[in-house]
Amino acid sequence: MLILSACLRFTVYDTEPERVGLVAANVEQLAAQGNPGERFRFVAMADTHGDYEHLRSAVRRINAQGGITFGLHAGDLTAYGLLDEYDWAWDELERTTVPVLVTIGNHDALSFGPEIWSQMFGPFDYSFLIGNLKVVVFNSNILEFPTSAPNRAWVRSQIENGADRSVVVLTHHPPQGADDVPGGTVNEFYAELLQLGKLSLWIHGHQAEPRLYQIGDTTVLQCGTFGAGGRYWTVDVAPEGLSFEHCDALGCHPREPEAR
Amino acid sequence: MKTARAMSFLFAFASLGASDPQRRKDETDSTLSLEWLVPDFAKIQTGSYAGLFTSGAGYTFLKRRLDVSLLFGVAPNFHSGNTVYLFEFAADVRPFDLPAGPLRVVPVFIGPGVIYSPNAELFVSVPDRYPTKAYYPPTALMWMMRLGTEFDLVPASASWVKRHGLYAQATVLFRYAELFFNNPGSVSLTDVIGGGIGYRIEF
Repeated sequence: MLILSACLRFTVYDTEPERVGLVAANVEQLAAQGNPGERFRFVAMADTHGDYEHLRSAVRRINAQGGITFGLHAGDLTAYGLLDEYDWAWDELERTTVPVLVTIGNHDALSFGPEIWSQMFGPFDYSFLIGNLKVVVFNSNILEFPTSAPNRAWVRSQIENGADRSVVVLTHHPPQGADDVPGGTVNEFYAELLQLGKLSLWIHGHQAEPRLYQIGDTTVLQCGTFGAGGRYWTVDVAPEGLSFEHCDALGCHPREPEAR
Repeated sequence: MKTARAMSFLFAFASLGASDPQRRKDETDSTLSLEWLVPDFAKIQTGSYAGLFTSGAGYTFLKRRLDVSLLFGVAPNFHSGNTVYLFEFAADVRPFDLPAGPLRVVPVFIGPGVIYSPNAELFVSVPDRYPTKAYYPPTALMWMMRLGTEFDLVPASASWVKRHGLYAQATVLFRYAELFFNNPGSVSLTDVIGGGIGYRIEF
C-alpha cells in the first residue's frame, strides 16, 4: 500500500511540463554552434508517435553518423497529445548531440496538447537562420486550429522577407491536398506560397510514404511515417544545391526528387 | 446534449440495483419500491487516474463477488495545470475474502473500467469539421484495467455499516499498456501504472 501510495496518478491530462521553452533553447544552442558555412547537413523526420524504441535507435544512428548540424521533426511526436507522451518522445530526441527543432502535428494538438506545446516548446510559428538558410516553421493544423492556423500573414511575410537566404519551410501537412475545413482555402494559400518562387524546400510529415518530389522550383520532402525502420532523411546543403538521402535501419540511400 | 446523455447514464447505472433481485432481499423483506436505488457502498479515493479527490457509490452482486461503481473525481488546477473533471465507471471481480477475526481480507480484486472526462478540450466523437467520424479515437475516454487489494473491518455490533474497507489498487490504461509493450526500453512499468488508495464503506 505504501509503495502504491508513492505512485499515485491523478490524471493523464496534466498540462505542466517540467521541460519548457525547448524551441528557444534549441535555437540558442544552434546559434552557439556558430555559422556552419556553406556546406552542412541536417536530418528530418516525422510522425514518430509512440515509436520510442525505434526513435532511440534512429537517434543512435544519427549521432554515430556525425557531421549533422541540427535536426527537424515535422510533427506528431505523440498520438493523443498527452504530457506523458511528450515526455517519452523528448526523452529520446534529447539524446541527439545536435539541436532539434519541431513543429506541431495534428495528433500533438489533441487533448490538452496545444497548452502543453506552448509551455514545453514555445510558439507554434517561428523561424531561425542557419548558414544560408532561413527555416520557417508554422502550424498547419487547420482542423485542430480552425480559426488560427495557418497564420497566413505571418507565413507570407516570413517567406517574402527571406533576404538572400534560401527558404526552407517545415510543416506537418503537405503543400498540396492538405486537410482543410469545409469551404476552406488553405490549399490555394499554399499554392500561392509556392508561386512566390522563394521556397527551396518544403519539409512535411502526416503522409505515410516517404517521398521526394518537385513542385515547380520547390523540392518537397515528405518524411513518411517513422515506422519500424526508424526512418529519417539527411539533407546536404551546398552552394550547388540540396541533396538527399533516405535512412533506415539498413543504412542511408541517395534519393533524387521525382518529377511531379 | 451532454446533460441528457449524463442523466440517461446515471439512471441506467442506478437501475443496476434492480437487476439482481436477491441483492436486497437477503437483508430485508421491506416492500419499499425504491430501495433498489440505494447503493450498497460508497467510496472516496485518490489516484488511479480518476482524480485527486474522487468519490462515488456502487452496487455489489453475487454475494460481494462483483462490484460495479461510478465515481466522480477532480484533478484540480493547482496540481494538473487545468481543472480536470473525471468520471470512472468500473466493475471489480472480488473472488473471495479471507476472514481474520473482525477483519476480512480481499486479497485481490480485478476488473475493467472506463474514465470519462467531460472537459471541453476532449471529445467522445470528433467535431463535424473532420472529414470522417473515424478520424480520431475518443480523447475523452480512457479504458483501463485495475488490480487491487482490500482490508475490511466488520463492526463488532449490529450497525447500518456492514464494512469499513481500505484499499489500494494499480490501474493501467489500455493506451499506456500498448506503449509499454511496444517500448519496454523507453517506457517503464512504473510509468504506466497509476496507483490509487481509497476507503470503501458498505451499508
